[in-house]
Amino acid sequence: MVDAKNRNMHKYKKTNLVLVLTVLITVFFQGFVKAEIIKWTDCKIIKDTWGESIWKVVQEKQNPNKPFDEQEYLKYENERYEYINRTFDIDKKILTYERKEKDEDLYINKSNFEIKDENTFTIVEQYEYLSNPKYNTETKKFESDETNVGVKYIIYNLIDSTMTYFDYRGSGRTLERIQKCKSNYSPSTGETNDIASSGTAFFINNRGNLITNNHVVEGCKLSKINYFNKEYDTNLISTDKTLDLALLKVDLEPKDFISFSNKEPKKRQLVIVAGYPLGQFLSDDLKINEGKISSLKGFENNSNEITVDLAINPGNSGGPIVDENGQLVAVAVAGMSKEVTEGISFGIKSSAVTNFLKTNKISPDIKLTSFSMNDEKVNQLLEESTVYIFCE
Amino acid sequence: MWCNVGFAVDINLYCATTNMNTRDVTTKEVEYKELRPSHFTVTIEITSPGKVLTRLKGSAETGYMWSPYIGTIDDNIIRLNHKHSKLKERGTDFIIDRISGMFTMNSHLDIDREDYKKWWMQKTGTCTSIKKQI
Repeated sequence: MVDAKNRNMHKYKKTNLVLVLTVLITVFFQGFVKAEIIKWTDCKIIKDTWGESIWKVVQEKQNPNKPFDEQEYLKYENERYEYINRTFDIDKKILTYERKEKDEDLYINKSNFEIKDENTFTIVEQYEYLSNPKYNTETKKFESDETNVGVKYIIYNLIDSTMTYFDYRGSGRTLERIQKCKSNYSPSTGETNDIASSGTAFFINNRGNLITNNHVVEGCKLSKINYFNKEYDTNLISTDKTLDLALLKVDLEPKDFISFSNKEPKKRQLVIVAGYPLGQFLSDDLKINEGKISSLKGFENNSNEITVDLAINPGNSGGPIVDENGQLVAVAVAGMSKEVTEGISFGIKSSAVTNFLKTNKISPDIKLTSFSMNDEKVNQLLEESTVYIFCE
Repeated sequence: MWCNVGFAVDINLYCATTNMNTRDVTTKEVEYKELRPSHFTVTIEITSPGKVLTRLKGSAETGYMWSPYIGTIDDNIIRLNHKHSKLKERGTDFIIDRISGMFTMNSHLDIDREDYKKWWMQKTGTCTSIKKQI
């Protein structure tokens, strides 16, 4: 009876422990840095008070019998533009406006916006306008000796993705223009549907093949890498959700790549990790640090992983963990919450990566013999083979 | 489609100017005048937390009043500024004490000289919060 109770207690404690650890690991498993970017694309004018008034005057002169057709006017106005896009950087509160008029250069403007509430951004801007302007037939411009100051009040509604522009002059207010856009923002969840993530990847051969974690590239339409201050598009060749690995290819010949170790990892073996923790928000310099293998199994006895005491942080995901000779031991993947634990991080064993590559008909470069490398050479190898990967 | 865009006016005030003071730009002497209360209304829209856009509507008692004003709002004070002709000008400061309801409206000259940094015309009075009457 007592034994049964103890067994039940033990079982209860074990279940709780697993539950807690699962929560902890899930929190840290997000090995990417989410950027707060909202993109509006393909904006169309659905109301243009000022433009309509001009159009009416012109049309009435050309064809007085034809009534004003608002839809025809809006079609004409929208066809002038190839696209109008807006990007809201919520962290920096900067709106980037891009407008491409047919046969014209791309117009880009950046302005600061305010956050009125969680679904409304605003811009208030003073501007000078001509007071009582007169049309100069020689210069073909409106001119005036006097100016007044008005205020533009622009409201960006994230719920229906509309931009509404009011003009304030004197004590009056006019609704000038409304545009409706396509958006990647979901008002119900408050999240964007194309997650801007970043992590680390590394070259495994001189043909431009890269390895990173699946969760770094998952949900991303296009992943790009930054290699020696130049951006390159990548092609996603294959992913393995269970192993959390992704194979990519980029059209460039890297200066160096990481070979695989043919030796089994050992406890207390010295290992080195390279990557971009916290993305490039921390700095754009590759971070390299070292530690030791503490276990040959990962979370929940995962034999495809090793446990290391390295400082692995969000953004390190997909980075190489190499031995003293610069040969791949594992791929950084996850860690435990630093609030409760210390120095418990996980890497996917190079043997698991080898199997993943072979099933995708890529032969990993496995060194049968290893030549010792000094610190400088290992650093150089990691600098030349490890890249910052981010979602466009 | 765009009905949920905020047309709402957040605060309406009914104000009365009771004093008008002028400063002579050469002698720097101030002349204080008491007026028969002249009424106007103020509509304040909150554009983002702590920031406002304001319009003044004059009456037969005041004549036309310049607008728009932009500024800030907190629990105690609403600070507004209107620029009339140029963005670089000092313009008119309209400051409303939200506790007492008293306001000052200081107009500055558009001349960039040390002497003219002080207001040349000041209106003072009281505002009360109102709901739309009709």
